[in-house]
Amino acid sequence: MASNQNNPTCCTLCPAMCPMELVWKAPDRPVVEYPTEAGAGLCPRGSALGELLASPYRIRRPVDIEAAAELMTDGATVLIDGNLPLEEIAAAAGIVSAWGGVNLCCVVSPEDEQLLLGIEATGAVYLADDDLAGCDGFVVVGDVFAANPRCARNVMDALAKHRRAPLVVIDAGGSVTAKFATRRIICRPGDETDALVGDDVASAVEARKRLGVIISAEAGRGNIWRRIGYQAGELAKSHGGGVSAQTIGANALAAVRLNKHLGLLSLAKALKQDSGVLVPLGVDILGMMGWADMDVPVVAAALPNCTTESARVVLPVALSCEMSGTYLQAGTQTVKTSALLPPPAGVPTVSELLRALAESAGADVPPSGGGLPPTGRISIPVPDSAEVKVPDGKVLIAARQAARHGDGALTAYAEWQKQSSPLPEIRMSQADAADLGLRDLAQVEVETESYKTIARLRIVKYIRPGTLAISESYPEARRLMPYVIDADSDAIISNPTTVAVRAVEPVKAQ
Amino acid sequence: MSEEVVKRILLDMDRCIECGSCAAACYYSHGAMPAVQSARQGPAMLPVICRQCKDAPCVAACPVEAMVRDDAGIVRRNLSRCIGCGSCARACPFGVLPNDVTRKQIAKCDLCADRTASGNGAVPRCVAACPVGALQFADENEVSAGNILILGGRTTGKDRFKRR
Repeated sequence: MASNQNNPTCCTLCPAMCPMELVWKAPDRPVVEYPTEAGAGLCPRGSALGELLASPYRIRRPVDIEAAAELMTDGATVLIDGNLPLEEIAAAAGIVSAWGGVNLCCVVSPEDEQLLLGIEATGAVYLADDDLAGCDGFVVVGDVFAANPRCARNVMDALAKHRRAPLVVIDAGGSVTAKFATRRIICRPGDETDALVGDDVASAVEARKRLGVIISAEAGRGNIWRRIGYQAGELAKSHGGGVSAQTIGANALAAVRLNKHLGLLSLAKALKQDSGVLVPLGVDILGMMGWADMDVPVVAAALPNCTTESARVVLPVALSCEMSGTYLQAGTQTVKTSALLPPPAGVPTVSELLRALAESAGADVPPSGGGLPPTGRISIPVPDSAEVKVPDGKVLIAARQAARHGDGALTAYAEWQKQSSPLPEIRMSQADAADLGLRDLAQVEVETESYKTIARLRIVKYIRPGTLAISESYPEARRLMPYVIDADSDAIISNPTTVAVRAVEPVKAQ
Repeated sequence: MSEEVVKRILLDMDRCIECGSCAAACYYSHGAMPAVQSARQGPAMLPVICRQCKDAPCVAACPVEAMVRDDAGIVRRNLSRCIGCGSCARACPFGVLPNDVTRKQIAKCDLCADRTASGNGAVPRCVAACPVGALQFADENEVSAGNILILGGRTTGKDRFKRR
């Protein structure tokens, strides 16, 4: 059921959309202030936004439109962040449609995109965070409490209200959520699909009248997420409940729908395009994909990231929290938000930048209508069953982290995040740690076929021996298991990969 | 001068999901000197915050009277007096005072007195930021007679920190 709501300012980094406001501690130091009373909450990602707005690392260089447009003369595929306000995405689509030879793709995390497409195929009801408190049982896949800490409050409120309510957690990554489960299914990576339709889940939720199925799609599980989304929707429908997808960014569902409604390219197609150059505007595509060897001549970013390091022309662009507009929160209601702060002087929004590029290329771009694009449910065929090939030996998968956002490009510049978790955390079982001769919290070197990096070991209880999970919000962690484009399913997937872990001497301060 | 504070920050261990929201809120609002620390408790890494002791050893241990109890009963650290000797950190029986060896100053929870002193129902920032409702700013006696007891039903057996 869609409804409308006005929320003066709120965080848009996840579907919770927690209220927040900005105050000035000093003329150059905005900080996030919290609502007066307890109850609303704001996770570390939201708390960091104030600091990031005034970050000394902000890209503010002059907007060299001519140099960028010249590199795009033979055609281009523009990638924009899917977590922009709907008006921005619609304006960008309008500009591109008037600009011949240029395509547009609204980028959503590959796992989130597949998950949402699977849910759309079922017609299941989406549950907003507040709806979860009315459920009488939960089935959870992945670390949803890390993906959206605020949903934990509603889950726990529901469990307190219905004392016999089950919280079934299906997880391969040693999640925090699993600690709270009444029934844990600690599976191998990729086995989540079987677990979701297995007897354990069926018997645990048998008598539920309003089941909430909450999912956080994490990397390293192959191409299971579309199937998981479908199965979750069917399970929720059969128990009078709904699905809650804890995506990266509040507008992921809208972006997935807009890609279909507006005829935009999928990310897989965008990355396969042979004609023209790839132009990410506000997307750290190399960091997100875990790729290092891709030619990206023009890029726009608010803060330096993996993509800007290799680009020839780097343009400044506003952060999503510097734009006001409308978000489709959890697929249930449209929420109008104000910008936390306007972009710095001379820094354009994505649509302003795209318009300038189009006009420089000689395109006749009509003025933006400013209306909302269609965000209704899309028609998706039932996905095929999914099978994941898990290599022998110790395998590495990814896991969500509450402190850092998405691919990590944004929160990499936040001071608390840098100090509290400078290294990715790699979780493993006590048995694996003993096998490798490693202690809890030791610094370790993690090596896969594609990359090698340093991480902090964390021994956790609820993970199978042989499975290791690393925090996904670090570009170096993503390079350990880079994404590949699956030609058959038009999906971008990240497979579990063989990993070696060994102790290293901690680096001592000079 | 008040003897002790009426309301304290209390943690419901059965609710804490270790997200770090409280520590981040404290860090960003207190000039990068966070008073919220974390400690390993069984399988969980939980926040530890100053208990505002009635008979505060940190106040007694401070050689320069930088650690004082104010009129509202809050044990506070006067930053301009603090010489970073670490006496308070060593005296604290709960280990909640971090000794910042770089800055030579001690971070100390002041219950966000700039917000809570107005008496308009405002809670400290760590409590406001907690997305789960695990942190509460409450009168200890009220809470033990109320909701903590109910939620505490999920803590089982002899191990105080074991989750259901």
